[in-house]
Amino acid sequence: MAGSDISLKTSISLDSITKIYKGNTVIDHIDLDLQEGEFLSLLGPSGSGKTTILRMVAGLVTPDEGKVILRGEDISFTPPNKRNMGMVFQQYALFPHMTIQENVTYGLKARKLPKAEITERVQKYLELVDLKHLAGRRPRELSGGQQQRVSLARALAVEPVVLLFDEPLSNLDVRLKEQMLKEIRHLHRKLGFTAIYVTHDQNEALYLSDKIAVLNKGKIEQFSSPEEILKNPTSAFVADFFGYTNRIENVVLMDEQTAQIGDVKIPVGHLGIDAHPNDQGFLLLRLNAAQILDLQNQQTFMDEKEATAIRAEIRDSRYLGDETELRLHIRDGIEQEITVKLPQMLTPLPPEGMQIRFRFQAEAICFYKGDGRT
Amino acid sequence: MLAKVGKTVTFIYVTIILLFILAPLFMILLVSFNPTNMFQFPPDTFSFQNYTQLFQDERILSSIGLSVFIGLVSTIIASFIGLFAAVGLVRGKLPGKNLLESLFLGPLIVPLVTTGIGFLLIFVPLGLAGSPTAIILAHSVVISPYIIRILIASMRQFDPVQEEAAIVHGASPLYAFATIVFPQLLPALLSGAILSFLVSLDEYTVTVFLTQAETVTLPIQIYQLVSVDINPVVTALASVMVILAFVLITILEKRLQIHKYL
Repeated sequence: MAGSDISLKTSISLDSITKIYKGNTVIDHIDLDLQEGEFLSLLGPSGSGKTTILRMVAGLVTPDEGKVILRGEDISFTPPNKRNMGMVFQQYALFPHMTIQENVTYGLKARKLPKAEITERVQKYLELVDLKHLAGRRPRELSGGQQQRVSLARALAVEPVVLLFDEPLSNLDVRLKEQMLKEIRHLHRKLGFTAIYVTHDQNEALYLSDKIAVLNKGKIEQFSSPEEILKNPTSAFVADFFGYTNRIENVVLMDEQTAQIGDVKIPVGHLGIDAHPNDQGFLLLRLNAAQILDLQNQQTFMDEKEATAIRAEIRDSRYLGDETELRLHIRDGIEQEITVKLPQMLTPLPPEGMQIRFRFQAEAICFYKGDGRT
Repeated sequence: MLAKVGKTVTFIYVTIILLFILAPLFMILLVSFNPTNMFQFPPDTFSFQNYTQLFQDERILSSIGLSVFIGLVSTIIASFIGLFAAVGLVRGKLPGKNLLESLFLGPLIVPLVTTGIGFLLIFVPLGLAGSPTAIILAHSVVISPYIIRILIASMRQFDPVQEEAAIVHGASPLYAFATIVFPQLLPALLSGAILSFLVSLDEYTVTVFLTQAETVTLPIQIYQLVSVDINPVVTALASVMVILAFVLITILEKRLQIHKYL
């Protein structure tokens, strides 16, 4: 790991950068600071502007307003080949007419490094991504995962000031994705490079990043550590991205830990920004927001020893791997549906129409003001 | 049953079309071995006399030399025009790109007679009419659309993200073009060049306006051989050209896979 004196240094800063395409503001005055050695993910749906930001850092797009500052120097209009960056592309973008070795050599030759250093570095990085044995092959003879590792070696070999990733795993199948994620994290730990990683997959972002910037319509919704984002998503947009997929409407916030709908009180773990008691709003719930108390017949069900228990009827149920997903219609005056996931396989699978009782889990529930439709 | 009938119909249809296209070429080949009368079919004698005469005829040999020279030089000029035009038309951000593209392909659409007269009107005042230079320049214009078309198609298939990858990793735009784009355009460029060379070698309509006694190209020579004294040597010459064309087209298809750009 890098020493503390290095990790305090700012590597790259975006200062109010803005990009307008044909009258549409795709990037709207974004500020970001990244320290040396940090791994930043830009997370957002397509059209959120994440790739445009990455391309501005690379120099492939110039900002209409604002500055890109690299180690204290304004590089907003520096051509990409003078920025000393490395980039891993979604479609690999390998050079098909060159061998793997030539691909990795490319950036070093373009920079006119001494021959001995080129040879040494190419060997080193081919070895790091475990592709030395394929050095003489052409890209089309390699699998998708291998091609992406070549792409990674090509970017690492130039020893860039910032390593850029543009959705590098979205063309790979689940198993390969998992493997590449581990490899990227391992390489980051080992080499300590500064990275910006664009993705629409929150799990990739959570696994790899020191910091995550969640983007929506060209603006940053939240910029913080993975832990903080998971625990305390500051907006409904962020919450929705991180697995708060259920919604309960028409809720009033009673106090900082309780929301009310009809006569039912629901414990709340987190509040969105600007939420205060007596606010009208809605709840977002994770799939683990309900703790099932019993899955039994009416007799036990009538036995009221759990004051906070909520009654619901099962509308649908299915297995997801070794988990069970239930769609619940909540009774007790709420009359809304939520989906919950239980970490075990329920046998037999609870039938449709079965009555159950559950308890809300506060830490999986967020309250947000308004109707969240803006 | 029906599938079988369909297959048979297709077979007959394709055979007829092929016969229709190839018949004149076969006729020439057959007749070229008959030194006495080129209009006699089937030929009653067989000899290589036409071929031996062909390679002894000064006029024919010099016109072959001239045509090959003109073909090579104008193909090189057209390759440069084509490369710049295609890169500009596909990558450039100039207004009226589509109009420009149509203009570049103009020589393919405008009747060649018109183009020929146009060149005559330009070259006479310049004192170039009848010179090899005039023919070379005219041929460059007439054949460049073939190269431009093929290169445009190839450029459109090329993924610009490769170029971005080169530039981000430190290559100047020119270095990226030379090392990444150009090598991958090369097969298309070669295809276009071979096709253009064949067109130049074969060009009659425009050339006839610009030719003089010292600049008789091969097609003009052939026409003269037929129109003035019906010389059977011409059948041997035509056969050689047909075979040359077949060889080059086979290279285009087998080695360079030209169909990808057409």
